[in-house]
Amino acid sequence: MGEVIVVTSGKGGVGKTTTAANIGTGLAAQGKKVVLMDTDIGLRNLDVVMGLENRIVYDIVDIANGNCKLKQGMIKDKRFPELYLIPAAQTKDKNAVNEEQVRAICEELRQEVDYVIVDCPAGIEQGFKNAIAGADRAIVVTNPEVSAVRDADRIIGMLEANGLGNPVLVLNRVRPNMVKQGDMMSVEDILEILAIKLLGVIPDDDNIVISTNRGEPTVLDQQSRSGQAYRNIVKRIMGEEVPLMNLDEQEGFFTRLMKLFKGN
Amino acid sequence: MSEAVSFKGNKDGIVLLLDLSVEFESLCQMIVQKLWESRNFLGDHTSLIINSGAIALNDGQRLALKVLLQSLGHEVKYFLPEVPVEGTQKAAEQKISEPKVPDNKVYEPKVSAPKVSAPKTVVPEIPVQTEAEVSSISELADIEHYLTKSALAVRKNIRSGQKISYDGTLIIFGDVNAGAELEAAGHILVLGALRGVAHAGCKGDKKAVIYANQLRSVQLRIADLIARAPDGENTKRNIPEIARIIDNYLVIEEV
Repeated sequence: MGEVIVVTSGKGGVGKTTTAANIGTGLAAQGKKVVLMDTDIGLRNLDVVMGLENRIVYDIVDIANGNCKLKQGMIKDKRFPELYLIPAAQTKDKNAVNEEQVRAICEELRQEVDYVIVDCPAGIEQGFKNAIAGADRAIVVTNPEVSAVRDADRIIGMLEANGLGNPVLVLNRVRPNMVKQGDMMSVEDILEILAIKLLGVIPDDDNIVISTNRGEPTVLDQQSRSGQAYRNIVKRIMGEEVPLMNLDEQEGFFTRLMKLFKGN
Repeated sequence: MSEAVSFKGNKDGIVLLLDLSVEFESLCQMIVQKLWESRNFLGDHTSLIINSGAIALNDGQRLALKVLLQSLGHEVKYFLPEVPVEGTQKAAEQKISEPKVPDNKVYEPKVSAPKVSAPKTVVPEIPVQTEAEVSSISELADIEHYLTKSALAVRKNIRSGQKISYDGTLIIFGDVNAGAELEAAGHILVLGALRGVAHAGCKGDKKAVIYANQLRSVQLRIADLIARAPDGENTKRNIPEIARIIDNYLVIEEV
């Protein structure tokens, strides 16, 4: 029996889709059978981030309404044979499917695969309710910003109220130097407020923009630091104990030398 | 190791012995737990003598404990030691006498239970319960909470967007995050950090107070008074504070 994990955040733009794509791809790279499901109907992105936009024929609304079989709606990834994407519909809105339909899809999927990663839309309305309907556990993504943390707090409360207690946290776009200077909330500050378990910390990384635009999840990039962070998260999801990576290593010798010259 | 909060009997009645080497905020939590565990033994509305050993409690701490006991349906008979100066002597006496009278000590049976989870059921006989209140409790169905005669105690972090209203005193074991709201006709006690908005005495009781281990609210309300945190100031103080109305001003004091 597979596990259904929803990736959610409340606030938009914190990296839900990126996180879902990387976790799904990372799990597939570990040999797991994975389905990525985009529930952001009307504003679909996961297909773009995965580089699978050109393969879309059927979408989640088609599956929910029985216009196609589940298997037909599952787009096979170009990198891994056991990674699939169920895209959201772009021409409809969040009310095009309901919780029961999503729950039914999740139930069917969990018979087939090891992990179903659900990409949740921003907000707390129908889209959110759809996304969490079939989930066994939740990953909350936030940024080290007061507004994002506030929304994450709200979402955690709503998850708990919907029987998804003990969600785990992915803290995205952390800039260690800013934290050091006291200009950014630290991991500790955020954990003190949210009081949930930390799944991982992703450093702010330009590679993410590049990989997102190219449709190549950064988790496959052995050089990128954000990729390393996602690989660690994937291992933690699979139950391995991986220590948090040291974010300070970002500055190499050369960068520091340059800074010294710049008098920074 | 002896417990930080324990009972003892003396000629005047039941004494609540406190070990002040434990942080005051943790003590408050232990007291509530202890009193809850011993509710059968204590019965309704008991006058308790509070003995803090060698160190006398300061005014703020006394006020906090009075509120705490009151909200649990009991009251403080008097404090020992009365003033800090006399404290040392009396405490010394008490320390000697304590081990001698073990048979006077009344412990409730479940002493060893490390984390007593409060029963999820709502105690049926609550004198002050309105329709609105029942609904607010049923919303908390998944939250561990319990009711005493006049207080609702909630064992959970209250998160942004969640609101708890109660027609008596509200005790929160956990943090109240920014964006959350508390509303109580009586006092509000937060044994954690209070970052959200709290409204004590929401039906007009100007004697209501708001206590928090870390008072970090941007706005506090007592009865019809509203106080907001000064703009731009971002002090993170880790000391328990209590807010109350003095001369029609909402005053926040260290405990």
